[in-house]
Amino acid sequence: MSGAPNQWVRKFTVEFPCELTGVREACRQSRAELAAAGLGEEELGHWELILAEAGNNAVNYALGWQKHRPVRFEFFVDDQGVEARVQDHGPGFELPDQVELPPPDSEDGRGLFLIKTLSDEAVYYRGKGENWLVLKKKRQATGTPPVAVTTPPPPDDAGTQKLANSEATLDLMTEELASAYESLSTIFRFSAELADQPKPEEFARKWLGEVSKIVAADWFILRLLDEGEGLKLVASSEDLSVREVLSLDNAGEADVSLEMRAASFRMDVWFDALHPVAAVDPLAKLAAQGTGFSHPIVINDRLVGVLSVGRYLSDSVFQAGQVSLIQTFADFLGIQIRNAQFQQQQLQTKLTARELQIAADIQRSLLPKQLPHVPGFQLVGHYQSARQVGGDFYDVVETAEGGLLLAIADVMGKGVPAAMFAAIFRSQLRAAAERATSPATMLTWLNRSLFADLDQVEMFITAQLVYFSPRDRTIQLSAAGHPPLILAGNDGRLQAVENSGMPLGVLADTEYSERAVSLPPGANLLMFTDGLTEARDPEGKLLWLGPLEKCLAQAAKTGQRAEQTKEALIALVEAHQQGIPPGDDQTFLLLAEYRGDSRGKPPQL
Amino acid sequence: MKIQHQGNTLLVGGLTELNAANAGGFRDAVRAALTPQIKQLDVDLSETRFLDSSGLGALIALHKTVAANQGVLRILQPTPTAQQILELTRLHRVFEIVKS
Repeated sequence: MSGAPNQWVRKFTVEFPCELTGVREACRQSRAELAAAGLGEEELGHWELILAEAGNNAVNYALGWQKHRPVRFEFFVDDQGVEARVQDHGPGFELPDQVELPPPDSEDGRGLFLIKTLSDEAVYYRGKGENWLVLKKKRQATGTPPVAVTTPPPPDDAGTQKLANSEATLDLMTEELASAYESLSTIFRFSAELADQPKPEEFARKWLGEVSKIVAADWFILRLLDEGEGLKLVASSEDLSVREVLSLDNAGEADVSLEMRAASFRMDVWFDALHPVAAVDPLAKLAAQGTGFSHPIVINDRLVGVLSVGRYLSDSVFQAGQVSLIQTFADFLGIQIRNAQFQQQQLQTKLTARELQIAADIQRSLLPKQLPHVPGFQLVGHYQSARQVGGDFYDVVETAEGGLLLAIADVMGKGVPAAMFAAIFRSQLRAAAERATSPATMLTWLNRSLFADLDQVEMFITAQLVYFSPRDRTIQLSAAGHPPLILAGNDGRLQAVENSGMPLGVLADTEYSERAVSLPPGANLLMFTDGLTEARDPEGKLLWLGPLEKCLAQAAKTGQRAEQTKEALIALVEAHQQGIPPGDDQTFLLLAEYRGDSRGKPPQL
Repeated sequence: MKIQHQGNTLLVGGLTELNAANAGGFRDAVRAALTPQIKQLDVDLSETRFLDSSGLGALIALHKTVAANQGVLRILQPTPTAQQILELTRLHRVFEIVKS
């Protein structure tokens, strides 16, 4: 500040400890300096009083640790007038345009009145870490001109004088610009790294750490709005233990929590010695003795989250530049996090769709393209997938003995894993076709070979294996936790053939049993998965077995083509569902004895 | 600061300054010397080179104390500086000001 180019522009600074005796001494010193600048007695008296009142205010308003920082008078004097700036570090006060005198018996309240009355202009600039009271007063014409004024200024010095006068202003602007540059460069670095940081939480933590260093914050807490839950903790400075979620429904809490108030009022909420946090505030421990604020992050008029930043000591208030850096950065971060979350969701949706597609492809590939032909019998299969692909499938394997192994299975689980197990099951089934004549032996073996894999992913398979010998007109049935099959004869009689065992993948070593059943004349045999019996109507009512049995009995009595029965069964299920999509895969395998359209004619397959 | 008893009058003088740093002490010292018998408090401001709003506050506090005992507070011979401040703040209407 020293070394002004013109002697007739006088600049000086008086700094003093934040106490009343300090003010008095500073006023005397300032008066002496102003006298040296050539001010008259009356002006000096006025300035001494103005400065005393301003200085006393600065001291009286300072709290706690703020008292350890000095108060400062800065003076700019030229031949026209005096400008004095009083800097304080307190929380500041209101300086109204018009200051009224208090009632005559009031013992205080005259300081601001005197300042306003005795100066020509008094403006109070309130910052976050410091405040400036700028006071201006014209010099009296009668005042003795300063000694240096007798030396006339060089003719081209008018501009230089203005420059010197603006030096202080420029200093302030430089600080502001420096902080703006800090904001910008931080954001640029942040953006550059964003491309490599896929997780929003990670880059939030990292970059808030960086910003905290720049603004000298002791701690930060970032919460993001989770629609279902409230304000959820996303990132915080190290070693902080704060509550994970602030519920937006808790009205009582909204009144006391800084973060909740910032969120609901959508404005910065400050805390300091004058505005302490409530004891029940989730930030109480952090903010009790300190200073800082909660800043709501609002993007496109929508609340995204709340960033809280603080220092442990209440005297070290954030300065305006630091505050704007924090705010700018928080808003920028909010946009990035929203974008990242959106991209993540998009990606997830795509991945899910792709996975379902893969699963559906596997599923379809498992179903036999063509079923074997058995003289005197017709064989049809049906598979209807649910919206989310499940693990149903059926297969028919011809054996060397001229028999057929009919298999139907339901892998418990969804998506690719379920489809994968269906594929494994199918290949195992075909690999062990020599065991087909004994379904029980086969299931026992399948369970042993699949158990470890199924158990690891906590999945299991229900399955039903039927070995059909056309020559003997018998079936051998073994099942692993699967619904019974239904058998109908041409007399309309029905039987549910059951053979219960544990599903595959539940017990490491279990023996399955089997039972043999002779087929009645005109047999219609239906193997199915529970998706069929558990088809739901719009009210959620299940179809159950009854209608299926009735349909099957009817088919056996009339001796109709298997394809026709299949259509009837599907129509039955669809009628029940009344257009609502199935919740589970629906699969069945139908074996029907067929003697042609009129008795004696060979079947036309 | 000098405090003198003269019958039911208390005379306070020797005040070169009444400011934020010493106003509280001034007020308390004078109050301590006030008794219910004292009906007049004379504050001599003839040597007072500096008077600020805190000094004014102390004078008002003493004025109220004395008035509670049906007494009055008079300002004696204020310096031009003190006089100007009393007038600026309209307190010359509250205190009786005695000029020599």
